[in-house]
Amino acid sequence: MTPPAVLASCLWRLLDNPILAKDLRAGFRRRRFYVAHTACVSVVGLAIALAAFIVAEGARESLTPDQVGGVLFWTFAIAQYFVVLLVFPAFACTSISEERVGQSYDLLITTDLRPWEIVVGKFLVALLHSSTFLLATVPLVCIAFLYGGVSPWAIAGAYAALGFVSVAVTVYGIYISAIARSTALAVILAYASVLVLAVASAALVAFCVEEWRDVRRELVEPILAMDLAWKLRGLGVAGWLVGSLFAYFFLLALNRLKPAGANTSTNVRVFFLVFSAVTILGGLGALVWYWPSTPPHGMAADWIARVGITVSAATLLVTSLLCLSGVMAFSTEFEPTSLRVLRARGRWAGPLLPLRVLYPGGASGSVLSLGWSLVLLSTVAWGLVQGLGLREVGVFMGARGWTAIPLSVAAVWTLLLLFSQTAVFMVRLTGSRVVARLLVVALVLLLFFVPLFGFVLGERSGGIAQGYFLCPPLVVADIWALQDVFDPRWHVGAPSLSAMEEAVSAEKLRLGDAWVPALEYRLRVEMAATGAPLAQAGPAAWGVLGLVLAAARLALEAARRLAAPVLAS
Amino acid sequence: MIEVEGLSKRYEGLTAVRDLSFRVEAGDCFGFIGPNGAGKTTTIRILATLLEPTSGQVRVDGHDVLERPEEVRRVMGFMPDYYGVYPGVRVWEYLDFFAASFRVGRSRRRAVVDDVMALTDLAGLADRDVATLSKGMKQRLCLAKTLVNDPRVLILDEPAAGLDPRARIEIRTLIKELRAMGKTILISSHILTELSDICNRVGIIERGELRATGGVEEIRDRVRPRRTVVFRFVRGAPQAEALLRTHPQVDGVSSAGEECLRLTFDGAPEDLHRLIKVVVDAGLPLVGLEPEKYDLEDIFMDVTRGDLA
Repeated sequence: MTPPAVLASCLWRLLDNPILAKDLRAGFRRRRFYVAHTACVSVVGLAIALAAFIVAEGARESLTPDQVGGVLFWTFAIAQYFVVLLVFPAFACTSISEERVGQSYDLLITTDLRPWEIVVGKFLVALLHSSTFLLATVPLVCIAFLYGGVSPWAIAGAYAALGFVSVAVTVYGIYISAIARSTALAVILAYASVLVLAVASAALVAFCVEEWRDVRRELVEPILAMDLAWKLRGLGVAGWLVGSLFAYFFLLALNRLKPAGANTSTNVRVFFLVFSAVTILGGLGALVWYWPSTPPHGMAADWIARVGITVSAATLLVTSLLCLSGVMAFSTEFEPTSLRVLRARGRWAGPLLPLRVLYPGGASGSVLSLGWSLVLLSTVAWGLVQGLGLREVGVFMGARGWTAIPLSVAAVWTLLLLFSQTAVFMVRLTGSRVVARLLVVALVLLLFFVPLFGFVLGERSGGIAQGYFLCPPLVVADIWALQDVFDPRWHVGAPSLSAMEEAVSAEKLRLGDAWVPALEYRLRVEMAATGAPLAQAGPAAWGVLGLVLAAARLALEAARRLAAPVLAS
Repeated sequence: MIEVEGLSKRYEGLTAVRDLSFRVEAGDCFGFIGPNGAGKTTTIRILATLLEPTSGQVRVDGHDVLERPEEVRRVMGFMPDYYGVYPGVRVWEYLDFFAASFRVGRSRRRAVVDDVMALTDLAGLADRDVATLSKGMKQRLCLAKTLVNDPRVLILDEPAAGLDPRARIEIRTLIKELRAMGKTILISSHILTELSDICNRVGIIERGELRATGGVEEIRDRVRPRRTVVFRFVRGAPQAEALLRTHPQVDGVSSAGEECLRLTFDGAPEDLHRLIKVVVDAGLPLVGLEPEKYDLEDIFMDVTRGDLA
């Protein structure tokens, strides 16, 4: 078979999943689907109407049409993001637990379907089912296009980010659904985790964007200086880390559905070792390769070191997270067999001790690696304090030099103790060890992201007023919008693209060695800003199309309702 | 077809099943009976690859449930004691889903679904939402679902539980039909009279241990080797009592009402005619003979002690 034929066959097998047809039929026929759909469209519509009202007020202060369109689009993007956060977990986290609660689980898993087919089927159903909520609100956004000011890239960027968040939330929801014994527990766990992840990812994206936009910061220079190949490599690393996390949750969900007595650790063990080896060795290799040599693209050697430490710390953090979630998944498989056998024979297991750190689901391993990642993170925090001048913010306030370290450690361990005590309390209250373990996972996420979030909001963005960073799709859209700022095609009266290139070349020649790539960015922004933003005819046509689609949808729904009694008879 | 050897299942602080061994041959209908909490459902869930045994070996159609669970699931149709249906799905869609899940090809699926609906008398309900079916219809639907992959072995956990008399009779008829089709059936039920009607062999379990196994007659002979018969006379019961007491095979004679005697004797059913001959030869007017009822329920009561695991 040729590769395309193999691909087509795999795709067909994926889509020929019996669960897809069954669950979609059942889901779409439920009354609650129509109610939820209508409510969702109404809420998003209301948000846009509200934004339009505010914009109309602002119009008195002479807002241009493209600015009005922009505001409406941002509002829509925020609303869509919250639709994803609210709707997607609801469908994903109940998909398998509902089978348990509805007592159809035993019937399902005693069929000839493989566990992976069940997990993939449930994943696709949850994703498709939830996506209809996003699609239903698309016509509303077209109102923004009537005003212009929103480039196709901004739309593509926002939807790409929304798609990514949707997949992430669905994969995680399916995992929760597979481990939770009741629907109520699944819903609580999913929404609590999504909340933490949403805040964390918002903080991370906001941090990156702020660094990107602020040309005076040291971090932005090497990033701006990177050519496309290097940027793609960076994206590849991010994709590897995120994809691995998806794969891990997929494996855990799959193992939960395996028959009684089946091997539920080998696949995770292999995954875990490959992931750790590639990430840690890759990170160290990159560090060794680039540090002693001439730093590429003007990157300072100490920055490479900082990046190396950060990658190692992040890797170990992910490692400990995986270990902790492994503890949740394999409560009976705590240790490598080799260690258990050695102990049973009364022999010293010292040489095999490192296995504990690398073993998924090992309680002691997870504690060790968690501890180590915290040490490394503290080091990184100290690096941030020293390197980025974040002393005036949050827990680092007043810290100078080495005093930042005990302060960081104290902050981290205070949070750790707080959460562990909460976890113990929850165990006594609910009797659920799963709740406690998830709290610990939440703690780890919070430990890493909350201070970061504080830095971003407190120091970089001028406080909570810039809270739109809470919405990553908006931020991604903003990046593309920013790109458009120096794209002369979208600015009437701005210098042409070739004129801009000439000006950049001339500036490079003029400055000589003093030239830094970040200046190119600033120069382009300044030149583009001399023109007026273009009111776009194309997006306006999109708007008309959107309104037609909205009307068609309403007409179809009305026809369906009118025809229902006739069809039933 | 089903082999269980030394099966044990222990939970924390509780042994649900202890050293259980029995065999169900191909074509058998094996009744698995026992009081609540005896370990029936635990055993059945292990057979259905849903639970891992603590020790022992279980094979279905030669496949070990731990080593080859996929093969076991392929040859087995499983109907649990409690199960749910999918609201919003029609009867034919429900069966089509399970047929697809058992890899019944798209071209053959329609025919398979039609066949099982006809067999289980669901054809008229093909377009009904499964959530709106009555309990009896749902039981039939679940039984239909277990048949879509044409399994050689059927494991049915309390298939008639909670049904009204008509639905029970319908399920019983259906199971008889399946047995006639050559399926090997393991069925657990509390309604023992019905099991004795459809099962050729039974296993009685209590406190996780198998108390007795074999054919109903076989167990009865083992549990209560002596038989009891009530003789009814027009007159002369006292003379008959005196006469029968002297017979070597008679263990005991007592009054069972006016001109009636309850006779306990040791021997096969054919030995009874010798006793009748003794009475008739003595000129006593025997007008009735009733073997005392001793069915599966009596066996069950004799074998079990009524305590829980």
